Amino acid sequence: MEPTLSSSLLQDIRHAFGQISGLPFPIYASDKTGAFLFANEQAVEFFMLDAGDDFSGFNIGTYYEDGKEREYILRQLQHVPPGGWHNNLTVRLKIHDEYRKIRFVTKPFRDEAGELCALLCIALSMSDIEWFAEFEKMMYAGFFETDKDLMLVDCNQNFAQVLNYASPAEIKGKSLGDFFWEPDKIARFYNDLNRHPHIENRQLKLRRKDGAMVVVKMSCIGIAGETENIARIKGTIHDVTFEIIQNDLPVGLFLVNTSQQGEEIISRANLTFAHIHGYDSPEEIFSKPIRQFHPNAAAYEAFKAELNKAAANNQPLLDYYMEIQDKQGKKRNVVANVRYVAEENQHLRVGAVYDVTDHVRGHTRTLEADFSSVLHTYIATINGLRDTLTMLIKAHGQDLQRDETHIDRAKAAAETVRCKKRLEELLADLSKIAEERNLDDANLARLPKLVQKLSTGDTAADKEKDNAALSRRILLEIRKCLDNLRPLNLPRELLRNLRSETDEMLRLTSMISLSISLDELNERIPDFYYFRDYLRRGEIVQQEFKSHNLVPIVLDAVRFLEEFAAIHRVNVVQQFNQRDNIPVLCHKNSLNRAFHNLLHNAIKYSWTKGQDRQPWVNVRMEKKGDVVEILIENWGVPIRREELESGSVFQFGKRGRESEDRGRSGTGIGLYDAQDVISKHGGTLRMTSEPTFGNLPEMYSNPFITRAYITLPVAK
Amino acid sequence: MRPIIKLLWIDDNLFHDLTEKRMALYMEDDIEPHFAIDATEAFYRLRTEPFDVVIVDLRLPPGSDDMWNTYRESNFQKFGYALLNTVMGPQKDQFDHLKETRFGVFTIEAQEENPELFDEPINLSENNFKMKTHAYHENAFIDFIRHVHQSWR
Repeated sequence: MEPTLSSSLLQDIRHAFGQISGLPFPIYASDKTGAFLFANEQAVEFFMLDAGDDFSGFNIGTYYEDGKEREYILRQLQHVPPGGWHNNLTVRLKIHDEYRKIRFVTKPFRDEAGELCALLCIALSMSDIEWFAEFEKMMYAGFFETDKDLMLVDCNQNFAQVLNYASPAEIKGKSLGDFFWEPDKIARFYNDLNRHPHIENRQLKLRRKDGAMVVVKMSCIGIAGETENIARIKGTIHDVTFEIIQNDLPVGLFLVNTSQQGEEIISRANLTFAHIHGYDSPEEIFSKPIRQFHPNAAAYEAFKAELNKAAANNQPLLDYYMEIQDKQGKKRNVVANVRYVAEENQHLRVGAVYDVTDHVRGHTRTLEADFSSVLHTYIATINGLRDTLTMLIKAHGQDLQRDETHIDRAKAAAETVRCKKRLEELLADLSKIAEERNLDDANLARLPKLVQKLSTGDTAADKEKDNAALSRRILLEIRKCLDNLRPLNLPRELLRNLRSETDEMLRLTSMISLSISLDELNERIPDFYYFRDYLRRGEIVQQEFKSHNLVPIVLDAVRFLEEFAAIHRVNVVQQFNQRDNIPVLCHKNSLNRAFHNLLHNAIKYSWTKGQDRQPWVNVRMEKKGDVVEILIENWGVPIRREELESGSVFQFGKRGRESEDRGRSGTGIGLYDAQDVISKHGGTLRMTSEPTFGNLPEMYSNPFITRAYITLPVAK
Repeated sequence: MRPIIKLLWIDDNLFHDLTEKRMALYMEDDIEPHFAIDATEAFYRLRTEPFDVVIVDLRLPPGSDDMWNTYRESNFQKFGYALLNTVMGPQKDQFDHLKETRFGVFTIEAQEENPELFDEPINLSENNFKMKTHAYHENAFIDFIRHVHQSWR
């Protein structure tokens, strides 16, 4: 567009331009539309105006990133008084693909009607610091300047704040050296600056006004004077104290963000956090879902539930102990302190994690060692007690013995019935005589009631323990009454016979009780043995494996549990050739413990099938190529489908929902341990539990067939 | 003659190491003993029958009912507490007939481990709490039952 300026106005502009065009800045004049009128050498170079003396083909508006920005500037210039300058118009121009930050110092020219019609501009390049100067107060860098003696002559607010002073005025006039935590480093600092006037990012410890240490990264330059190397020092400091704490603290620090898809991602973490989780650097763990480090979904949900519970009370989750698994799948024990970041609607959380694995394992090992030794002694005592019971039964129940170690309890019960009848007859005689002799005694009155109580016992087979215990108590009372009757005028022979029948009945009920107790001990002893062996287990080190025939290892478990199986009346069917040789590389004790446990479970959770039908446990073993497959199968207590699907059946300390059926005891360790042992031998353990033919799959009141499938590699 | 105490004793070990203590109850003329071995069995007994005294072990198994699933999921062990909390708390309307029943706790745990027993809704009297180790002899246990019976609820 043609300039519409009057010649006099154009003359004025030329004159004004001529007065300042020698200054070392790009200077130009343009009309209202932006067309260049004049430009000095620096402007030609700056704007790349390659056009001789005619600039009319160039327009400043084409350099604007956004054309509207120029309209804004023109509006600003409307307010400049006639003959005045506007010295603070900042704009980003694009000059041949390069963005430049510019401050314009501009003088507007107006026509006769007072309308803005031309501009005289000085274009000053701006540094980033100048460009962002309006944010200076929000920057955390501290700026300072000292004289040659390190006396602070100037600083900004942040510098004062880093050193805990309220304002720059309060700190000016003090020596920078006075703030050094280690005074011996002042001379070195000064000498270094003398040798090389630029120091970049030097870490220094400074002393704050309140005496606390602040660690800073200092960058500075020494400015030479006329006669000296350093006349002034200008520099910046940046407080890195908490960066150091964050990086060097032996605690894992993290920030977890929830993505729009609801996934919880590790967004920042320090080195310790990375190490705890098996990574070499924080960068490797960024963007990983935090959930993958929890050992299972249930553990993760439990953690989240606790965190949300604490958050509902506006509290952080403190000292939350949990197990995690690192990148390699190794379990670690940690304590976490976590809280949601305010105003982030539970989408951002921060926390610290302490690795207490060694501490916990050390304590656990000590406890295990102590407890296993106590248990070992306890087992020895229990074994002694079992032997004593066996001998007492032999000594006092010879007539009742069914075999070497058991008595025939049904025969003993039948004998007690006969004894009771005789007791009733003798007591009837005694009462008659007492009546004839007009004897009135409380013991005489009590005896019939006691004998009556003897007759009211439940005769069901599962009540035999109760019956024996109750009968013994009654018989002891009867014996006491009979002793109290001695001074009375009653036939001695009759009293002796009564006493004799009472003693015989006491012997029989005691034999029944001893026999039941012996069975109970024999039932519990495998649990004690297993638990002791578990506590005393050593580390399974594959390098120490030796080749052993698997058949005797399985047979050993079967034989050890023979008595236990006999008590449960379970028939253990061995469907493999006992003469086979199936070599496996193994830690023999551990593998034995695993089979012991699986077989013990199979027997324990078998259902009896009535008087005539004995329950069974099948043990099969078959070599198939490079592996040996072992199957342990029983019929009885189910394992619930959800427990199999979630894998909770293999979790430490977790007992199946149905496993407490009929008071069956257990630790909840066995399957966890068996799977651990078998997997460390390169094998697999899989459990199934299915309803028997015709039964519904989730009717757990019915018996199920439960199978443990084990595979182990055969040694070459 | 002493009044008959209709007792419900809830403990999963009743038929194991508590057999002798259980039998001792039958020898007492003033105690009519009844038993339950898990929280489910106890819950249904309590819902249908009045008792003078109920003695509860804290570390009970839950039994088969799904009503304990919330507790089960958090690996909870003390279903004795869960039972008391249910009977006296959210479902107390079903247990109007137990207004005169005295409750006692007989457990291996220490009182300090179970402060919630002494707060709402259970409000157990400290005198109605006894550790098993403090009632090793059966007379002490029977005295405890009589004490609970005479306690003010």
